[in-house]
Amino acid sequence: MYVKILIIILSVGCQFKQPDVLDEKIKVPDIKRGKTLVFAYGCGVCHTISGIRDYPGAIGPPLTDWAKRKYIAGKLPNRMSELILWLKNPQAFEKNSAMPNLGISQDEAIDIAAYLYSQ
Amino acid sequence: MKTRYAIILAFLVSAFLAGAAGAMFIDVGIYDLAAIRPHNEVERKIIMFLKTNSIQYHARDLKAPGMNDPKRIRRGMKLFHKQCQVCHGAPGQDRDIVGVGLNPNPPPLVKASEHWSAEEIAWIIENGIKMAGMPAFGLGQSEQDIWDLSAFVTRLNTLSPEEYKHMLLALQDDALAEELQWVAPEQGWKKLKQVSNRKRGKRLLKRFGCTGCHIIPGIRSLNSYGGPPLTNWKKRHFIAGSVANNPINLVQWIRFPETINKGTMMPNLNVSERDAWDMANYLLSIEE
Ligand code: HEC
Ligand code: HEC
Ligand code: HEC
Repeated sequence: MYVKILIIILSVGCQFKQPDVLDEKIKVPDIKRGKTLVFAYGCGVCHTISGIRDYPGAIGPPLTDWAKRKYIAGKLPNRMSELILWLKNPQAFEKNSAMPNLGISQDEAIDIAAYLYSQ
Repeated sequence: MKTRYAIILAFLVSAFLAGAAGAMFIDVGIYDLAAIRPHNEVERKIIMFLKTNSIQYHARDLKAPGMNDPKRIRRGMKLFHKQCQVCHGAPGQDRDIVGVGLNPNPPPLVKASEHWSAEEIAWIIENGIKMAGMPAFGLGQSEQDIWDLSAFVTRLNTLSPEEYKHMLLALQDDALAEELQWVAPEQGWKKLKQVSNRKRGKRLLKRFGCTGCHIIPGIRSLNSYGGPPLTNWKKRHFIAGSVANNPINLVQWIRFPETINKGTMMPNLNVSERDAWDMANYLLSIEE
């Protein structure tokens, strides 16, 4: 079902407003809130991200053109569902990853992921 | 005559409007002080410029004592873990919730020693940074504490998340602490300059097909998204989020990625040691 969300986001871009197409139980991704969260969590101090001006981050890989990337952290296929899992707990996939567990909730992860794919 | 009056009148009116706008900006509060919203580009540039000049100027008379001392670094880490990690985090460790709402976001300090000298870092710790949420630690702390902290912050640059975890354990355990390498090991920067060939490295990156999976500035690589873009590689801190980015680690990664990150999708391409040093030389020169 996340794949469905992804397809919709990619095709509708920022004017995302079609909750009726979705499963009722799924939260509607909010790209604008995603952007605010990306700043608040300080993703930009570690990553170069389009649209986020912060301390010029070079601790992790650049996330520009994220939608085109094949893998997440060289391990997971780059899909909405996997990205949400990664954001919530990177150490589940790489025990000693330098990307910290930021304590992101499921709802927040959905919005953040939506923002990354919309770039 | 009439036009002159008109001009004066127009001038007075516009001066009044400008003043009113200024008063409104300060008084009414149009300027957005909410920490949740980022500074705009101009504000950010001005702040960075002011900060750098001011700190370099004020720290000019300080002189660091011997910093490469295992005991000093271990003491510094103890203090760092207690006082700084809440806001700045550490390799693989998040900052606390206190550090999350700050604007500017407290930067991770792993790269601090590349912007600042040990003396400048000590000055920042002692005096803090105005209007930025970086507290001054000078009041409650001895001079030795501040140099110890500065020594550890400088060492952060070379630590992997795994080493950091080991060091945390060794803070409590003297026997364990004996075995650990508190002082930074050789990173291979001298060897990179002396033995490797950047031009040859550039050709090899193409020949080995690295550009098929990576965007590499200076080499044609369109639509190569199998791996992360290697843009700005000189400034990048970690390799595959696992070890510090320096020549020795990079050569190891290019030759045997699976030894650094088990299960990685980056293939082992049977690269010889010499070829790997040349490619590392090119990658570590990328600044865009
Ligand atoms: C303290 C620094 C730090 C912070 C803060 C941080 N990251 Fe990361 N991130 C990393 C590192 C280091 C990696 C590489 C991890 C690895 O490969 O194990 C990474 C990897 C990633 C990846 C996979 C990148 C790739 O090339 O495959 C994504 C996506 C990502 N981070 C998103 C985020 C988002 C979104 C945030 C904010 C909510 C964030 N990161 C905050 C350091 C950080
Ligand atoms: C309350 C949160 C907080 C605590 C605690 C804190 N800092 Fe900071 N620190 C910040 C903020 C915010 C900045 C960014 C200031 C800026 O960008 O102007 C900063 C900046 C810095 C810088 C400059 C980094 C750079 O690259 O520009 C250094 C060095 C530093 N802090 C060291 C320390 C040390 C060492 C400690 C522990 C003794 C510490 N800080 C504790 C919030 C904090
Ligand atoms: C089949 C595709 C592929 C090829 C070919 C390839 N890589 Fe990679 N590379 C990857 C993947 C996937 C990752 C992410 C690995 C990880 O995070 O575990 C990666 C990661 C890297 C990194 C670390 C990137 C980062 O952001 O931390 C470097 C450096 C690198 N590769 C260099 C090279 C070099 C040099 C070559 C040629 C000798 C090469 N790669 C060939 C897929 C490839």
